[in-house]
Amino acid sequence: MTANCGIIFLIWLGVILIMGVFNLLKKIFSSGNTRPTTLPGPPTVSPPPRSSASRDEFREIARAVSSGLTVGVYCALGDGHLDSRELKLIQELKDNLIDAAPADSRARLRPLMDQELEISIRGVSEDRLHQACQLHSHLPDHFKGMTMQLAFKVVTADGRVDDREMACLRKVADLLSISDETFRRLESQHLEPIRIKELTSSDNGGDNRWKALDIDPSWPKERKLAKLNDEFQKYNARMSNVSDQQKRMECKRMLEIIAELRDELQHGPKPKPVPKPAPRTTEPKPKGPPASRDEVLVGIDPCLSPSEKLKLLDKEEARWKARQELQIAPAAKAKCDAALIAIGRLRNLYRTQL
Amino acid sequence: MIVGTEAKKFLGTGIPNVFAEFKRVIGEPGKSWQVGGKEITPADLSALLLKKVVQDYAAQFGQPDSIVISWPANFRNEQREATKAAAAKAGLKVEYYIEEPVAAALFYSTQNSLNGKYLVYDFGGGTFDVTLLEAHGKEITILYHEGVQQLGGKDLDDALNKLIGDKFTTKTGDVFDPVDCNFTKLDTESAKHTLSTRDKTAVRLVSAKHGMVAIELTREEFESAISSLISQAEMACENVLKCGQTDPSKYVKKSEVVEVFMAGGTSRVPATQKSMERLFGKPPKVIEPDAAIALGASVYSAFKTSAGGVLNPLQQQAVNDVEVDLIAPHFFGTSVLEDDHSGMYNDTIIRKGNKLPCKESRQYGIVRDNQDNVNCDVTQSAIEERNTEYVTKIWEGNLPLPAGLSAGHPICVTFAYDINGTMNVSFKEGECGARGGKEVTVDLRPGH
Repeated sequence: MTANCGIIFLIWLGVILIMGVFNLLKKIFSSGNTRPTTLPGPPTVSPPPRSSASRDEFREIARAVSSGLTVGVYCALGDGHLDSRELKLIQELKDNLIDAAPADSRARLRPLMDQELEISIRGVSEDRLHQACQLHSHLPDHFKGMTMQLAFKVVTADGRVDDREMACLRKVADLLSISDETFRRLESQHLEPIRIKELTSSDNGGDNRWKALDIDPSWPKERKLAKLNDEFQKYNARMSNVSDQQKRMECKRMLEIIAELRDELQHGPKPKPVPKPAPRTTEPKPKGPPASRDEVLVGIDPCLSPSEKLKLLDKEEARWKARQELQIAPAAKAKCDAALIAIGRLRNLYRTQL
Repeated sequence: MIVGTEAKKFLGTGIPNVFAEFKRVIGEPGKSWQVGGKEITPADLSALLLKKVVQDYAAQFGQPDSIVISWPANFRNEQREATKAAAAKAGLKVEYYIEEPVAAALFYSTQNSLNGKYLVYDFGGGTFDVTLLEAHGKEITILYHEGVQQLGGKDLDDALNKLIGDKFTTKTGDVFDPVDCNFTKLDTESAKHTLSTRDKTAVRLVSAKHGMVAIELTREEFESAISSLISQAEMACENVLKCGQTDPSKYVKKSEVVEVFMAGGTSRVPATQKSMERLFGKPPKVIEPDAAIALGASVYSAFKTSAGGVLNPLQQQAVNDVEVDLIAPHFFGTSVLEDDHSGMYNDTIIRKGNKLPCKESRQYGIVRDNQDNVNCDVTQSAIEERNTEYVTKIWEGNLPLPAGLSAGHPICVTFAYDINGTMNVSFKEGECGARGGKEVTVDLRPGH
């Protein structure tokens, strides 16, 4: 029975590949190569499941394949509720699995998959999760990696991950016997972008910045500096390599954050930046005599004495003339002309006040 | 068309079709602007600029004997090719392309003879590059380089503008609007230049709403505003000493660096010089930083094209039979499947820092029985990146396989990089070293 299931699941796997349910699935087939890597080929069409498969066997196949849905729902429910984006992802997976099945099996498969999903959505008990993961033992080893990948995708579908969801992911990884290396890689692949997005899209300060860079704030200074250098190199390289503008901006912001942290480590924290002014409800009270329109344009303080104003006018005249000679925009040139005319008027006015 | 300082005066005025700092984005896919209904790329703008420079030179001195173009050592393949395309579009016959740190080193070698490891710190207007090289007499070997593509004098100007804006806000309670205050980028640059030689300066902002607002700026404030930018440059300098190694015992020690040569206009900012002195414990060499690269490149070109006849004896001695050993400028690899099939990863084949020419072969296996073809790609990255999402695919193709192969059947992948910067890649069915077998080759040069 186990051997039969194995063969049939391999066929299923081929079918799933056609649909490209996961990007990584596209290039996956079983192998026992000693070489660390394999070069993938394109998916191929596999023959339909044998028509001689009994009803029980078919049900077993469907259960095993849909156990991925159960694992996905379990992880999605980790934070207490099933987000619409998480559910959508699981439903898409279900539909793809059904569509990928041979045409004559779809009608039988759909109610089984619907039922599996419906039961899971009501809540996935620990026993049920164990059973779902147990079913994976009948599948080729690499199917576990794909299911773990799905679990990460579902958990991160809503753009955030909390500690409870992380605990769910770890439990699933244990049950599927996922290696620490694979778990860390998937964690880096799926969770790091969320942490970066959170950090770069807000003014989050303090320990969040260290956490996002995987640095323990209690580390000694030298260790922190070395890690900051490594992170700088990583995000700097990524900024050159990614073409997505949003991701590039995130990388740029990460470089700034890393540089700020290094700066703080070496020179102490910087003073807080000047807050942006709030919109005024009332105009500020003017100090001293009000400035005329000409004085505002030229930049003359009305509180000065007439002789001081005249001296300042000479300087301003030279400055505006110099600017006028530059090849500046027409609007700026017009402003220079107006300023020089105003200077003439003000000079006459101040002379009379001497 | 207006080029240079005169053109700079138009920046930030709202006048359309004013372009600056396009070297930062040359070769970037999808980067273009619409001008008069026509699409203009950074390479097009570079072509216009190059043409104008040569025209201006010809008007004053006659046609140039030869043309040499320099580019940052960390320019990616596509950036180099876009630069070559710009030169071709400008109708220039370029004799040589030279990496900027090599040019800077050549320039400094005309001042003193070099012997040991040197760091070339090139802080330009739009980009920052740092290169570690070893020079013994006439032989210059690039050991490693790092760069920050989005770091240059422009970013220092932006930081200074922000400082001015903050002070304006403190004084007036209003948001700083450079256009309203008739404050151009040239004014910012002018303040930056003054702060490079004096401890303080003042800028006068004339706002329609607030009248004249005088802002005093001190060098200390400016240095505080740019400290995180200087930090970025420092980190790149520290990282270049690692030479791509993970074992700290293989890093080049700061004490091994004989001298730091500074190039690029931003190197005039005292904070950059102080930072290098702090990092390496000795004052850096700053001689004509704006022109060091151009001078080094022209010395190189002059020697190559006229057998050194136009060079003075010291220059002649410096470049006589000069040998430059180049390195692979990036990590190159291919996408392969994880052992546990949980995804793809990027496998590095040629490492950044490998001396050119270099050639590496690696054997992989096909995944399943009767696989009829293999998806092939060539990736590029500035670090040894495993995640396929963060590498650039510079080529993708397919190798058809004969029928009846079993899972694990070998595929030999060979990457070769020659001294002209051309990479040849082959994906061949069969073991490495064996003859025969279907093969797909790719010549990573433009038009191939």
